[in-house]
This record gives sequence, structure tokens and C-alpha cells, in this order.
Amino acid sequence: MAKFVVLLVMLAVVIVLSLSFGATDSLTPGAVVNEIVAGNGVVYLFRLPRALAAVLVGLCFAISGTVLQSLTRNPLASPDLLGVTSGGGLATVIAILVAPAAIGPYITWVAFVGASMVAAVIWFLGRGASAQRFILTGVALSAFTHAIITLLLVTYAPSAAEAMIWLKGSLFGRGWVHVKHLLPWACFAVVGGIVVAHQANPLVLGPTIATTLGIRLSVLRPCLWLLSVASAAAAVAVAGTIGFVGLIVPHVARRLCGPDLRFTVPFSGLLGGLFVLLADTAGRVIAPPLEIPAGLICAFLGAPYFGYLLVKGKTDL
Amino acid sequence: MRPVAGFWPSVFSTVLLIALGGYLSLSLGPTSADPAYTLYQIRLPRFVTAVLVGAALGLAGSLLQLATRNPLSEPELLGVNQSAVFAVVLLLLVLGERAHPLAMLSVALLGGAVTGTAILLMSASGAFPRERLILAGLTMAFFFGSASSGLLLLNETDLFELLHWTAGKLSGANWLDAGLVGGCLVVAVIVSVARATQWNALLLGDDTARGLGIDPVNRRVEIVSLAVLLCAVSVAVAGPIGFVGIIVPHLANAMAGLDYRRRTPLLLLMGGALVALSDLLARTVLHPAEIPVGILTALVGAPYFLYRAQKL
Repeated sequence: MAKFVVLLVMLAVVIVLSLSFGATDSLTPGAVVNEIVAGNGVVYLFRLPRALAAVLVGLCFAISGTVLQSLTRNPLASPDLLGVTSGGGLATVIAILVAPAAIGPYITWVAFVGASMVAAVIWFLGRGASAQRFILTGVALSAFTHAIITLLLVTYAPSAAEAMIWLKGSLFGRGWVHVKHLLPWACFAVVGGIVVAHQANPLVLGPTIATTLGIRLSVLRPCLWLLSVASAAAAVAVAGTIGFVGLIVPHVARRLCGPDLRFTVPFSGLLGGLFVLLADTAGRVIAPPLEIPAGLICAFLGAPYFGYLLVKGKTDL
Repeated sequence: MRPVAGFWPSVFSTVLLIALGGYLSLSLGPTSADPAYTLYQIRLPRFVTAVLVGAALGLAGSLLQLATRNPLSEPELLGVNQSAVFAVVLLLLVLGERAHPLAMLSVALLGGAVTGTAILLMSASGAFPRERLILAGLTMAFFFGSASSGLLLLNETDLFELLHWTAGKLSGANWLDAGLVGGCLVVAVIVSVARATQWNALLLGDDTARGLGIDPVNRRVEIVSLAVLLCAVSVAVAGPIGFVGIIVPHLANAMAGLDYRRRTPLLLLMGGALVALSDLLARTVLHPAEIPVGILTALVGAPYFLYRAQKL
């Protein structure tokens, strides 16, 4: 519990930092509070919704990864490596290119459909495969969908900046609309994750023992699958594909609070939010007015950790 | 594995395919005021570069698979291409303007060598069976990929140009590019002719190779160095073009068997045909827009990789 509070405090500090610094002048915390209370100005209109969106995106990706790793019993599983995110991204990009005006409110649903389709293909192709081959299947699918996304963007994208958001995962220009999109899905991810946690915990012991313990796998598995795909889809619809959050955050969370999902889910949500917010803030602050997409920073930091997980060899469950 | 098509029929049909691609590449395209210039300075060098880059990548893929004893190895998936790209991006940022192709090649070699060494160490340690090696390679690919995109973004390079280059492109290839790839290929071909029988012995496993008087460790270092050279030159000229190194070797194996004396020419030809035809498609399908050729090879190659990974 103490760790959770510490993390919450850290998140609050980083939120304040991210509100204070930006492309324009840096503000004191007092000025930040004043602007938020006034409900106007740079902080309220741009920085606050962007920071909130970053936290929610990170939370969704991280919980999606946590649930996916528990469901597949595969410590390397994550929505981005398995291609679920790029499936959602592809559907969103197509929708934005086809009907930019009409798509607004339905964008998460579109992403959800795309993500579910890719998820279904992986489920079908990866049955009975070893943990690592399962991931390779996802990587190949992800490479394929990513090639289509790049093709579409290079050919039709209205602007390079727009294209970059989808290819590298960025929170550039995200506002209150996006926070409203994300909020219900993020709540669904947290609440849903904690509700099913007790049922999902025995999965780690294998399907036989879980069944013996009275878990109905035929009900539980689709629920977890839905939870994971939905939260990843919500995040990708807003921020594009931000990789490695869903992969490494659950590992860090398990280190902090052990394998019990009732704790891992909220911990990884919090850590994921913290991670993406830090990445986004760093990307804005390093070289203003230029921005480094949060997805790039996450990959830059996440890839070595993934390598460490591989080398350490604890990944062969 | 029994060859399905025989050596000479495969060679003959691939040469025909390249010739057909060459004819179409040279004849298709917008009309210009100076046909001779268009033909000899734009279309022909581009076609020749495409064939040579494809040949280099096809051979490089097969060499990496031989050195790592892993049928899924491929320059793009193991991160060799991305680390070479990262080095080139660093050079371009330091020099500001377009650097001399030879300088680009040298730094691409350095960058590729980093990943090459890592691959050698990992496959020598024995702790990295098939899937694990690819995942470790992917990690390097992600790391260097994000690093070079970040560097480019920080320096306000024209985004669309960059998007094209990092997806692999051949537009604007000139005779110097073709010469550079050609030179490296000559080196690679000479070495592979000289070493073909030793490489064949390596296919039988390290112990057998040792029994035949061949040092597998030295050979492996040599093979990976050669692969890195080929990847580096194709990156310096055309950016990273993925998945050629996985499609071509498997096709060549199926058609000509595993003997490197026969496999090498077929690898070169089939790689050349694949990239030349992909590039032809890339610049004609959506004309006047041009698709980066790396995207086309990924669209074909990713499903093929999926299929291979299933059959493993």
C-alpha cells in the first residue's frame, strides 16, 4: 500500500512538472493551479488534457499487457508485439482517411474492431505454439499491418505530422475530446481488471488446476481477451501505437507487488500512466519547439529492458 | 531437401524474369524531353541498382541463416539494417549535407558490425535457440530504429523524405550507387566461390565441420562479416529493405538444394529479380506517387515469414 501511495505521489509530481514545462514559458506550480481554476489558458486548454490523455493511454496499454500476459501465460505477450495495436491502428487510419468528419465519436469502436480482428487471427494461428513462437506470429502480423499503415500514410496522409502520430505514437495535439474518449475505457480496464483478478489468478497454475479450482475457462478467457483488446484499442485510437509499455510495465509491476493480479492491475495501470507521461513530457522538453513522439522514447527505453528480460532467461515459462 | 525445379531451369527462368523486369522498367514511366538521358541516367541505373541490392540482400539473408543455424534469420529482423541506418543518420547529422556514398558505406559498415558482433556472440553462446535469437534481434531493431527516428526528428529533416528513406527506396539511384553495390557484390561472390565447399560442410554441423578440418568459429565470423558488408552497402544506397533475406533463401533452397556452389548464383539472381520487380511495381502502381520498395517487400515477406515460423 505504501508503494502505491509513493507511486501516486510520483504521478502527481510528474503531472505538475508536465504542466509547468512546455514549448512556451515555464510556469510556477502556483501559476499552474491558477490557470486550471480559471479554466482557461495554455495549461487548461492544452497541457492538462494532454497530460491526462498520456496517463490514460499508458494505463490502458499497461493493463492490456498485464491481462494479456496472464491470459496467454506468456511473459513476452503485449498488445504491440502481438500486433493487436497495429490492427487497431490500421482500422483507425483507414477510418480517418475515408471519413475524417464522421468518424470522431466512433473512433475507439473502429479501433476495437480492427484490433479484435488481428487478435482473432493470432489466436487462431498461435494455438499450441511455444511462448516465443506465439510472439513471432504476432510480430509477423504486426509487421504486415504496419507495412499497410505506412503504405496508406505515405500515399494518402494529409500531413507528415499526422502520419508521424500513427507511425511512432504521439500525444501531439491531444485535447479534452480525447480524454473524454479514453476515460470510460480506462475505468472499464481498471474496474474490469480488478473484478476478474481473483478468477484469473489461478490461470498461472495451468488450465487443469484452474479448472479444478472451479474456474470456468470458457467464460473467463473471452472476458480477459475482451478486456485486453478493448483497452489497447481505446489507447491506440487516441495516441497511435506506443510500444513496449504493455510489455515491460507489467514486469516492473510484478516486481513491486508480486504476481497477485488484484494488485498487479492497479500497479501496472499507475506505472504505465507514469511511464507514458514521463516519455511525453521528456519528448516535449528536450528540444522545444520540436517534439519527439512518446512512442519513440518508450521504444528507446523499453527495447533494452526487453533485451534484458530475454537475456536473463526468466522468460521461458 | 530435394530440389523441386533443378538448377538450370531455375537460373534460366529467373534470368528471363529479370530481363522482363528490365524491359518494363526501362520502357515504363513518364515521357521526357530527353529520352536518352532518362534512359541512361535515370531508369537504367535505378534498375541496375535494384537488381544488385536485391542480389546483395538475398545472399546476406542466406549467409545469416547459415551462420546462426536459424532459418528465420534476416537482416531486418536481426537489426543489422537498423543499426546501419542509425550510423548513417548520425553521419548525416554531423556532416549536415548529403555525405559521400563511400563515407555512408563505411559508417553503415561500422553500425552493422555492432549488431553482427552481437549476433555472433549470441549464436555462439548457445543460449539463444531459434525464436529467442530473432526476438533478441528484434530488440536491437526496435532500439536502433527508434534512436534514428528520434535523431532525425530532433533535427527537423524533411519528414516525408525521411519516411520514404527509412522505409527503403530506390528513387534517385545513380551509377555511383550501382557501382558501390556492384563492387561489394564482386567481393562477396569471390569469397563465396572460394568458400562454397567449406560452407557446405558447416551445414552438417560444427562437429562434422571440425572433423573435416574446418574451423567453424572462424568461418562463422567470416560469413557474418560478409553479410554485414552486403547489408551495409544496400542500406547506404537504398535504405533498409526488409524480408528479401527471408523470402529469397527459402525459395532458392527449394529450387536448387543446399549446395552453396549452386545456391549462391540462384540467391543472387532471385534476390535481384524480387527487388527489381518490387521496385517496378512500387513506382508504377500508384503513379505518380511512389511507394517505398521496402513496404512492398514487407507486404509479401511478412506473410511468408509467418508461414515459415508456423512450419518451423
